[in-house]
Amino acid sequence: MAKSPLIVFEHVTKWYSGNVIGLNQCSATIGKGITGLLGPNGAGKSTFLKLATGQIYPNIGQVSIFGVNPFANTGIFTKVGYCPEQDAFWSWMTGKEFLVNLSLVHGFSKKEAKDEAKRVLEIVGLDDARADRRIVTYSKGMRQRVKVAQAMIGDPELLILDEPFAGADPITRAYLGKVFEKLKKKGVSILISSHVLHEVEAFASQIKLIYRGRLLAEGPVKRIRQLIYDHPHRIFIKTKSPRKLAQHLIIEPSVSSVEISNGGKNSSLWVLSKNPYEFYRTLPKILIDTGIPVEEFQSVDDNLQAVFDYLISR
Amino acid sequence: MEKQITSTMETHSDLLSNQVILRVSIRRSILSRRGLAIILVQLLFAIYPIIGVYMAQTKDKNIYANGAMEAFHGWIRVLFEIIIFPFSIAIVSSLLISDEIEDRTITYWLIRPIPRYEIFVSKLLSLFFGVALMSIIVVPFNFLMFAWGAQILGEQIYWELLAHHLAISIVANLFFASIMMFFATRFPHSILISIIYLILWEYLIYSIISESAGGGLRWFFARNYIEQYQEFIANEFFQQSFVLDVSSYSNLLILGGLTLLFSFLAVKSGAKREYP
Ligand SMILES: Nc1ncnc2c1ncn2[C@@H]1O[C@H](COP(=O)(O)OP(=O)(O)OP(=O)(O)O)[C@@H](O)[C@H]1O
Ligand SMILES: [Mg+2]
Repeated sequence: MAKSPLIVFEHVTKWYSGNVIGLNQCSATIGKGITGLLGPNGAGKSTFLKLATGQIYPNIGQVSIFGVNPFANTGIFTKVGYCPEQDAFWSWMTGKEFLVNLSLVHGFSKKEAKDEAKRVLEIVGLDDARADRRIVTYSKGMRQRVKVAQAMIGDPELLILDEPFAGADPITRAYLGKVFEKLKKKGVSILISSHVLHEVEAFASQIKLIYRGRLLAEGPVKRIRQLIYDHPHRIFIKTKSPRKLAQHLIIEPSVSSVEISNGGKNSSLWVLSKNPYEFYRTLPKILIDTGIPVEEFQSVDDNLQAVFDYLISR
Repeated sequence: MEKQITSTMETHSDLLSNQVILRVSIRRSILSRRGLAIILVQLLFAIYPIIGVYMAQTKDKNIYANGAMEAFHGWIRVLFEIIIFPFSIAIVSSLLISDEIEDRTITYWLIRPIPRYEIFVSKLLSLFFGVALMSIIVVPFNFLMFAWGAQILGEQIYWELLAHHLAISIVANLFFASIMMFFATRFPHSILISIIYLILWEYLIYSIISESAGGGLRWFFARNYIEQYQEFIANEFFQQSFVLDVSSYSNLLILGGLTLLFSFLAVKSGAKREYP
């Protein structure tokens, strides 16, 4: 890499009290641009981001950010903005007060703090009327916007955002997505965690897949997308004549196995396809040719969890 | 290159930042509904002397060796100074730290470019402010109760004694506050633990103040055995601690020193721990 990486994890292991493992021998390098940290619930995404921002320290291994050890080293926050996952606010504060107060702590004078609050509010698209309401009355989407706004105080070079889309409405998602793209053009780097690929694939250039505390795969968004859509899918089909349909399906090259679960009227098929793309194309043809009626059809593998289970069992 | 990076990554340190943390902490832990409820409970207990007056006048009167007013002082001392006030402080000081850790609002302070210890200095100051506020509200109220009780009982008020108690109580409570804050930074989710520690320290502090080992609690428990109790207050406790002696000022100094020590430890352990 020509330029020095922003964040480096070297064989980092972190466990919490009660022998819960948060990260397990994780080595990773985060460079410039937008990086998506992808993993299902409990994968260790938040642990990763808290380690990177020095809120916790590794039990084994080393973490560095901008070349320094982040633990309790608050100097890094001149360059790093962090958006926590938790939805925590001081109950009496309005959005504006919240941001002004935090700007003051950031080192702005009273007047500058007001301007700074205004600037970040504008970026995340919260107008005055909403900013003057108490945060606890906000919708989830608005609260996410305020949290992202506080991470932008001081115009950091690197934003570390823990699931900023979680629970947000589609409008907020789209809006924040655009904000991140604009920031990227301005040269701001972003590390963003999520458990859904399509939330981040539009603007992230690199993806890190993390599961059970381990870095499973990493690469440009295209490769990870392929990986996810290329892995076998399990498909559920509900039909009145499962045996007949199974006979037709098993000879298809895209199908690796068919399982019939018989229950009288509720008979159904579980199809394992190693080439789902191909399978989804040929299935309608088969159904039309054979005339077998299908009541229900469902791909259960559209969630990340299954992809990870697959990746880990390879 | 490396040097350049570190030189631009320095924390700043200014009064304004600390003021904000101080203000938010006070607003949250002391001027909040819960903080005010704690003060209210204290006020309710500050009225407790009324019961003391009643008891001193009626059937309990004969058990007090040195007169009704002394009995009256005793009531105040046990119920208010030894139990209610310190407990309130234990709760407020644990809340001051644990609450923000538990609901994670502390994160918003921890991710600013200010040294971590400043966060905890601000919190300690807001705690001391809370202690002072409670003293200002509750102690004069208590004094009024005394004056009123003395009028009814037709006895003199030990004004010097009250002043002495006030001084001790404020310093002792600052001391509690610093200790509780220290424990809160160590064991964030443990109001229960702080209360256990509180009881232990209670015992020690009253040893220091009253110069009779474990005075406060022993006296309190002795109350269940009226006869021993009668002897006890006649011989030991009252004789020693109801005198404004100079040595108590040295005790105040000891407490003050310990307060500084625990404040330092509280700030240090708060700044050095991790916040998962
Ligand atoms: N403070 C904590 N104390 C104990 N265990 C924890 C703590 N925080 C996280 N863990 C555990 O560490 C593991 C990783 O958690 P982490 O929060 O990093 O996952 P995540 O990928 O962020 O998940 P999510 O999508 O739910 O936010 C989980 O098993 C979790 O239960
Ligand atoms: Mg998380």
